[in-house]
Amino acid sequence: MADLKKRMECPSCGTMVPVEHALEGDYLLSSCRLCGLGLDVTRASRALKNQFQPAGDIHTSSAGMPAMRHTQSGSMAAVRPTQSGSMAAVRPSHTGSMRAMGAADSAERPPPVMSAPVKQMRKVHLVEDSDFLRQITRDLLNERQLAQEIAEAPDGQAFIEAYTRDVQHGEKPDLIVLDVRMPGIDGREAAYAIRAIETAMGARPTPILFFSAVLCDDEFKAQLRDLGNARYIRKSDGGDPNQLGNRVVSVLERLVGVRQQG
Amino acid sequence: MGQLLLVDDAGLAEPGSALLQRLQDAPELVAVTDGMAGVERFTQLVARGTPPLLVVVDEVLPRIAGRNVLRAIRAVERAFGLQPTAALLYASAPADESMKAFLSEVGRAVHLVRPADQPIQEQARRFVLASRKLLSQVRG
Repeated sequence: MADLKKRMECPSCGTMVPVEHALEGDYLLSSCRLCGLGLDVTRASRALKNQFQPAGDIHTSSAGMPAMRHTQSGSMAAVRPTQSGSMAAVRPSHTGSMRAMGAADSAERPPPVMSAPVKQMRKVHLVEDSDFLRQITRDLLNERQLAQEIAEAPDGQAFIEAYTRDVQHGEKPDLIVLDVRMPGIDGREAAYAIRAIETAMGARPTPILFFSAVLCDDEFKAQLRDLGNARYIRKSDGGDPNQLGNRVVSVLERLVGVRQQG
Repeated sequence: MGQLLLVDDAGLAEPGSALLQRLQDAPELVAVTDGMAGVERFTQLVARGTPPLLVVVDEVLPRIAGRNVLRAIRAVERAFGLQPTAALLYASAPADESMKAFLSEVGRAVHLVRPADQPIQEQARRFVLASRKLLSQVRG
C-alpha cells in the first residue's frame, strides 16, 4: 500500500489541486480535495503515472484501469472485479475523499484555517431550501468572516426577485451560493435566469458557487462552462466541518479572490 | 399596439407571426427559442418600461423549463413592482392537478393544450386564437 499526493487539474475546479491517491492491489482511487469531485481515474491516471514515484508498483485492474461507479451516497468510487466476478466498491471515507478501506486518515488531513480573512466579500446571496443547511452554510461564512452581509433565500423565485432588486439598485453581490436541488426553480435554472437578467440589465456576471450534494456529472460540467464564472463544491463530502470550510475558502480564493491569513 | 413575447423552440414563431398580422390591433411579436432568452428578453422589456401585453411559453424548453420561465418572470415583475403580465402556457398534456396548482401559484396564467400531433400551422392557429381572446381581455 502506498499513499501518494500529487497535483493535477481538477475537471470541476479547473485549477491545479492536490489529488489524493490510495493504491492497494488493483485499487486506484482519487478525488479532488478542494471540490470533492471524484476524478476520472481512467484519464487521470495516464497523466499521473508519469508523475508518480511510488514506493511500490502501481497496479491496475485486468482491463488496464479501474471503472468508476456511483455509490449510494452519490459519490464516485473505484470498483474492481472480485474473485467471484462481481464488482466490489471501495467506500468513500468520512472526510469525503476516497481511499482504500483502512487507509490512514489523520496524516493527510490539512490543518484547519480559522484566522480572519484579509479580503472580505461585501455581500453574498445564499440560496438553500433546507433551513438547517442554510444555517450551517451561513455559520460557515460567518465563522470564517468571508462576507459582511448574507442575503438568504429559501427558493429560486425569492432569490431571483432579491437579486433583480439588487442589480436594479446597483447593489450587486460579490458571490451567489446556490443549492442545486430545490422545489420550483432549481439551482441551475436560477443560475441561467440570473445570467439572463444580468445581460438584460447590462450587469457583469456575479460568481456562482454551487454548493450541493448533487454529483457534478458531464452535463453539469457543461452547464458550469455555459454559465461562466461558476464553480461547484460537494457539500456531502464535508463530514469534517473544518475540512469543508477549508475547501470552500480554497475555491473562493480562485472564484472571488478572498484571502485568509495563515 | 403592444408586444407579445413568444418563448418556443418548436417553430411557432414564423406561422404565428403571419397569423397574428391578420388580427385587428395586431401585437408586435417578439420571439425567442429558449427559456433563458425568454427571461432575458422579458427583463429587457420591463427595464425599458415596456412590458409585453402577453407572454406565451412552451412548456418544454432548453435551459429553463416553461413553468420556471413563468416563475422567473413573476419574480422579475415583483422586483420591479409590476402587476403580473397575462401568460399562456402551451403544453401538450391536458391540465392535471399539478398544472392547476402551478397556474394558481403564478396567477394570471392560462393553460392551452398544444396539438403536438398536428401540423405546426394548426399549432400556431390555436395559440393565435387563444392569444386574441387574452389580448382583448388585457386591453379591456
